[in-house]
Amino acid sequence: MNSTTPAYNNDIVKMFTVAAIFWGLVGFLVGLVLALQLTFPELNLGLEFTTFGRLRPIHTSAVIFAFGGCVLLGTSFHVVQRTCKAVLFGGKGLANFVFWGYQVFILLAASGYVLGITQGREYAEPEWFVDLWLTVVWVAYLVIFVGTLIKRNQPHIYVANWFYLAFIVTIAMLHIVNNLAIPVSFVGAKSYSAFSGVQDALVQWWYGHNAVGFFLTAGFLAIMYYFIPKQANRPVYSYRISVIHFWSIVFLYIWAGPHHLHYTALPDWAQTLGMTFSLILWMPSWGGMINGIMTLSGAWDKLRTDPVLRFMIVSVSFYGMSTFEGPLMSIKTVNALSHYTDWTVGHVHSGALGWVAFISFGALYYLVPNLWERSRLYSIKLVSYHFWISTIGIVLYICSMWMAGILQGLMWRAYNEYGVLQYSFIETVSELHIYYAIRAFGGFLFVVGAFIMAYNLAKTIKGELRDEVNELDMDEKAKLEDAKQAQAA
Amino acid sequence: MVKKKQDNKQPETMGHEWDGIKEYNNPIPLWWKTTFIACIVYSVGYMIYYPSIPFAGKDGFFAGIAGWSQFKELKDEIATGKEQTKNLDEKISKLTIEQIETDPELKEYAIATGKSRFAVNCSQCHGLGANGNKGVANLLDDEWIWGSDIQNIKYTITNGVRDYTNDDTRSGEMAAYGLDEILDKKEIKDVVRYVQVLAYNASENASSDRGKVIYEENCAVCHADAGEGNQELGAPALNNQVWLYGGDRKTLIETITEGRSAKMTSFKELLTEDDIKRLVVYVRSLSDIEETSTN
Repeated sequence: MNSTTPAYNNDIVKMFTVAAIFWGLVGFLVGLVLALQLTFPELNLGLEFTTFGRLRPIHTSAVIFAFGGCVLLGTSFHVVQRTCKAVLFGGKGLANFVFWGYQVFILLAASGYVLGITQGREYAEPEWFVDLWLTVVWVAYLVIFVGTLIKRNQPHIYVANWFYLAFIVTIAMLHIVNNLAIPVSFVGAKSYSAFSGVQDALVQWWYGHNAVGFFLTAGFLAIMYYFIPKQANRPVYSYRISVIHFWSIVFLYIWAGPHHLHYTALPDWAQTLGMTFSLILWMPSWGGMINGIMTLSGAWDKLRTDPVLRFMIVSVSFYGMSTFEGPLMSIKTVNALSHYTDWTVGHVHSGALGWVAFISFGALYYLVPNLWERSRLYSIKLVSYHFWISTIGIVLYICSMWMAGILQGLMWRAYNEYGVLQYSFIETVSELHIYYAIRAFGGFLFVVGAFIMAYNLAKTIKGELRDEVNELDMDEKAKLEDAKQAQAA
Repeated sequence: MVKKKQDNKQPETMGHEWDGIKEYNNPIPLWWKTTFIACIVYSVGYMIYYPSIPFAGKDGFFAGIAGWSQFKELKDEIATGKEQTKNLDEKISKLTIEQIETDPELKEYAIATGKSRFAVNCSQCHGLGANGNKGVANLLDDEWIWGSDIQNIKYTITNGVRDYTNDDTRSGEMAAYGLDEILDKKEIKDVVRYVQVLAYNASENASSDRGKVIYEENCAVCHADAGEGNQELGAPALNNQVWLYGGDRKTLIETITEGRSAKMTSFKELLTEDDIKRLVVYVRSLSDIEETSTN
């Protein structure tokens, strides 16, 4: 950094970073509870507040909107300032409003779920008054982001900011349209959707799939485009790829939603288009993977010594895997088997745990020493532990859900020699117990990893350094000595 | 930023730098372009073959050259399935249950198809294994509340038990002797004591003697003098240690105090005559019912 560097607003990034760590732990823990409830149903405790149906939106909202959202908002404020060489538009006040406004949104949403206040729309459960509040907060966020881009001191807008902007704008559009509803009264929580029947389903899955596309993909690709080159200290592999895959992703993703409604009341033509757009989306998605992984070309050795970079690269690999699996599952004949089964759950989690969470962990490990101005993380070794424990957890999770899902799908469609269904539904459920147990164990490992990270980051914030010189190779030792001297000076 | 190694093979960067990040301008890999184009070509072909473009064509959308629709696919599959078992289905329809049970091949078919109908319609209460539940008859044993012969089972499934949406339903309720103050608590305990004599050969004593008198006045009219029960009234036998609600003292007191009137749905409107035939054959196959017919 030189003297012309403006005084960036780092406090807002710090706040979102701490919030992300907190919400991550909450969301992962609730996920583990749900996995255990599915394995041992008695664990719903017989209370309405702790039944699976009420806890599930807490898990999904906590991991997507609370954890993922805080990572996205925090990193976007970090990245946009640095790549525009400009402090945030709107000053500290507006940024703080976005932070606290977003936390209020999370709390309103979560408390509603426990009390049974819900629209019943997947990933859009909050009722009308919470939706209105989020709209206000989101517009403020958009104003800050675009304002900062406009007053940038750089000739060009960096690719990460394209993705952030696509994420912010599209989420605003999705949120508003899918939540169009008429409240029963202005003093009551209940509202009715503006849509009904198959139109309602289509709007919901247009929203649902693009929440994946623009919240969990475009937003986190933005994170990838800043944090991988920074952590690897290498130039981005290809500008050309980033242009092509940005525009093709943005154009194609928005049409893919109908693949969630194969073999339903949705007209055949819409199902076909949903599937074909999903198939064409495969390569554009992989463009991001190429750029992420190939940025490391010429510096592969860093993967051996830098577990933070390992998180990032493995996350991009999981991204590649799930964006291959997604188009595959959108094919009608595959979908006929996979739909409504645990295969879908496994697919979502290979994206959510492998891609979204891992790139977030990488970004958090990068951000904390950077923001609190520490020479390095408290412990590199613990990052390595976190990496391996979580990776094993994810593999157990995904594999058990593949097996469970395919088994489930095959059992549902099995006919005996006389053309009648071979199994009743409950028989297929009891068959899944062992896979649910393995999944819960995988989830447990993932949670353990997250707690290791939280401990490591808390220690880093406190300014402690674990003496790990003897555990590192010579190259790293030298670096560490330099860092120590720098810290002392 | 100081770069440690300068790799000469790398192409030029784009000339921009953001917070130390530069960009190469590597070409897009050939395999990427080829696969992308292949996906597009495949998709266009798919869209020509299957229904795809809205607002084009006489149905309000382009229907595709294959003439495919999901409803047609469903119809075809059902037709194929029906065709495969057409002969057997016709026989089920034409023959009586008695005749079906005497034809081994037909019986096997009726059991297989009856089983799937049982799983869909009956297992919610009777259990997948048909072993019943509290207040729901176990269908595996030889004890039958409303009779085990073909006509009786068929009648029970068709009209249900105490399902008063159907005028022909099996009726007959056990009164709530305690709640309706027909018997007092002490009398109920005496009757229970006597029922234990009938069921378990418990030793007789003063209480059971008093209970016997009460039993003969109040219970024997349905459950018969020695507790044999009466299938015409749906009064279970009390002398065989098979219980619908439970044979422990506490449950017996509860049964007599509160009465019992569990319901079973009438399937007359829910299932076809043929489906009910299959179910009768399946249910009868679950226990060792010896006789094939009473009429």
